[in-house]
Amino acid sequence: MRLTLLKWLQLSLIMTFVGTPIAQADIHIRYLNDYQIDQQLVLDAQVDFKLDPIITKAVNHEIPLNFITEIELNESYSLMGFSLSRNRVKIVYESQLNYFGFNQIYVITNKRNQKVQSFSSLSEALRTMGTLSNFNLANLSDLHPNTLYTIKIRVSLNQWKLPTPLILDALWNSAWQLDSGWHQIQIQSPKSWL
Amino acid sequence: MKKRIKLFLSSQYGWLSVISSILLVILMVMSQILQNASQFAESYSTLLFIAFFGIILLVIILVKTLLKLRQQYRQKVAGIKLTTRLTLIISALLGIPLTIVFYFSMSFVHQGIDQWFDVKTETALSNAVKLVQTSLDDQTRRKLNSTQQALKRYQQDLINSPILTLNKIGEQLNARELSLYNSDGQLIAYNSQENIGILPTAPAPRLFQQIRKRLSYAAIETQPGANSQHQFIHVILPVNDLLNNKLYALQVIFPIPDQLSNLANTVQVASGQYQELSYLRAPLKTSFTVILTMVLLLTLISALLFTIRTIENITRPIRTLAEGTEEVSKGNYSLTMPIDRQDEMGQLIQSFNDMIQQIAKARNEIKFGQQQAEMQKLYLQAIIKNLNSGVLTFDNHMRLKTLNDATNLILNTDLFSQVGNEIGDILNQPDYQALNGFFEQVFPLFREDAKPWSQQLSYDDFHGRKMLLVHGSTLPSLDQKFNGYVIVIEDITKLIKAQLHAAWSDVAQRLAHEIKNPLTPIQLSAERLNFKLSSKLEDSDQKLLARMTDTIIEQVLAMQNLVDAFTEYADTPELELTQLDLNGLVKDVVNMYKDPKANWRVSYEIDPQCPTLSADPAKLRQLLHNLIKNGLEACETIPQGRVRVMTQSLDEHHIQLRVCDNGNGIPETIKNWIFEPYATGKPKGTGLGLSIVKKIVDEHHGQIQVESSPDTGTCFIIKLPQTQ
Repeated sequence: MRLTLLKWLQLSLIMTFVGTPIAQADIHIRYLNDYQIDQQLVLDAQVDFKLDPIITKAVNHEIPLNFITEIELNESYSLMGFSLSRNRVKIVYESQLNYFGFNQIYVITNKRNQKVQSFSSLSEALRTMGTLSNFNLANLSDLHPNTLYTIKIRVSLNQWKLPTPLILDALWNSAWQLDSGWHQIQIQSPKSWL
Repeated sequence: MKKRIKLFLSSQYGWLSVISSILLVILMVMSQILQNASQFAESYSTLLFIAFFGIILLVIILVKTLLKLRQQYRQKVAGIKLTTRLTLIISALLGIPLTIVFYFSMSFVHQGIDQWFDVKTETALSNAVKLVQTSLDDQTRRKLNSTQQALKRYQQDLINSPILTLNKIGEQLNARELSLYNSDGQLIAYNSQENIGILPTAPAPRLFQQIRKRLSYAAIETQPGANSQHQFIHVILPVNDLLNNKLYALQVIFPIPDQLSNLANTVQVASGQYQELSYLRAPLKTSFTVILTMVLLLTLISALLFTIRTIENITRPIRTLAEGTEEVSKGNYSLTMPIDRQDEMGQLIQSFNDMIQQIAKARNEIKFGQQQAEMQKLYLQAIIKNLNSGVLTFDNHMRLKTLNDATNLILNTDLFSQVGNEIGDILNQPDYQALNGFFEQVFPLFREDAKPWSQQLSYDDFHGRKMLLVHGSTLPSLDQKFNGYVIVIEDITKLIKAQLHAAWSDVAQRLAHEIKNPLTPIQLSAERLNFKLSSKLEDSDQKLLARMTDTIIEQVLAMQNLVDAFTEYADTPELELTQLDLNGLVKDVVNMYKDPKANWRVSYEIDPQCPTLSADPAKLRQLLHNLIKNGLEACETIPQGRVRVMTQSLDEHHIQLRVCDNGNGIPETIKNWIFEPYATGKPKGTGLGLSIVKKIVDEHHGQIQVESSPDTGTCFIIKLPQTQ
């Protein structure tokens, strides 16, 4: 809720005073696949990060970046002829990218499971952060076999968790507007897991 | 308490104070956040937007207030000019210092931020990092060398009895953890000083690849996700079992000395913060600029709004006074202005209210006085208008101010059209020439001591001479000097005539009584004297006596005629009224004056429609004789004298009788006095003829007028009523 409000405020501020259009997202969802293992609906996804040199420079100056990953599983149904959608699963977590200049290592911290990984290069760290493999989404028993489901994924940079002085710059500079947008696939349970 | 808060919020400064205070606190918090108050960092964006929209709100309020001022300026609301002028002055007084302070604050902030990142600091920090890293590298090399020496010494023992040897090596090297793996990564033995029972972390596959290449590895490593406090020296050496042709990997974990670790940690943290701050230099400047700009705007706008409100409060009583003055200038004296303060302005408004009340009271009194004066004036005007005396007033410049009808009547003129004109200009006009003599007599009578005077004057105009009693006085003024002149004119002609008539009547009665009685004995004595002595005297003396007695008798008869005339004038017998045919009477009398030898002629022109009238025939006969004789006497010097007697029926109730001659007319000086005894200038006659005519006309309740001019002669016009 707070994030939504802040996004709206950010958008209104940008549209009103800056007038700078939001740049095309430099976070790209390369693929999103679903499959089932042991009656669990799991997914694989690969997210490509293409950072602006400004952001790369910021990372190398030990500015921590927080990326928000949002994954939703929505169920489509029809009521009195109208097509409606209902959310069944919603997962939101943050991953933090840090650089330690002293050791010259890049560290990724998954705040959902508190898993920490160190990398000697930024590209390696970003590739790892963008890889979702064998991600457990839902139990198949909770889903209806004949219902159409949609899996959506979105990855974006959380500008509000940047260092305070950088927030204003991030609001005014399109290089910091990193958002993949929603990428979705439709799955129909019989085809997927029967 | 709640009431007080509500009262405060509903006041002029309430919401403005609240908004300004909140924004000030927010900006202070934002400033603290920027200066590493990380506990509020998550609220920074929210505070930023609240501050931003708060400033926008203040700008909107300011614009609205300025527009309201502009509208009031256009509508010329009372006091708005003062408000605008004071607002501009105070805005300049506030704006200029604030802008200067803002400029220098910006400069100091920018310079301060730049000074954080000077070259010396950056170099020192970089050198410190290198120093720590060199020291750690040295430590690493030492640990690698000592491990290699220990391995060289105990290599065969390690292959034969790895557990014991690891313990021995561990104690010798003072390592935290030792472990032995085969080349496939399988753990063979391990030794740990801290975590006994927990398997060691296996080296990464890439390190086994390095071992298989018979290469050693030594590096400072950090536990995954941890900082430098959890760093350690990681050494991996290949162990060759030449007998069995096998390859093992010995992994040794050395702790870094605490002192070095703490120093390295401090340097690392400082280096990291410096790196972060060096990147945030420009954003910091931007953020401080934004906050300072917001502070400037907040201060300036709040100050302006408070100033405008304060000035409006200060000028409100002035505005109230101005509105009150405007109302008073429109004549509204019933106004009472509200007093909502106890200061000098309140006293001023109270004084103004008192003044208005006093003015209203005075105005009412003046109005009442004016009404009274107006009524008095109208009253006096009515009196003056209806006075029989003429009243004239002049101002001190001798301009005619007022006059009444009686003035025009007495002076036989019309001066109403000359009101406002100077008397000199009036008298120069041909129509008012006759007034010259009158005013030449009057104005010298006004004296400097301003005392009133009275004077009997004669006034001659085209209608004859009038006797006037004139009163004069100067008009007073507030400064005790004279303010003009007033002249009161009374026509006393009739009064004098009446007095003359009474005097002559008295004289006539005395004459009749004292002279008429001795006349008969005188006449009889003269006749007897002539009779007795005539025979005794000689012819000459006899003739003388006869002539003398004849003279006596003749004079006695003349005196007797005179006395008879006086008796007639003084006598007031009862009229013997009968229905008289005036035309017949006129014919009879005129016929008596038929004399073909005479150089004059008497004729009549009668109106056949003339009715009979109730009159005394003897009196009217005498009237006709007197007027015809008077006409003939007037025509004595004319070669062809002519007297005409005319009758005319004027209306149902009046008959006009005119007796006209073509003589030389009557001098104007005596025109008004010809009906008085002895007013005639003729050598002949008793001097009572016209007086008796006037008396007879008066006895018949008629009117007599005379029209005379030297060219056409004189006409006596008698108007008699048909019935008495």
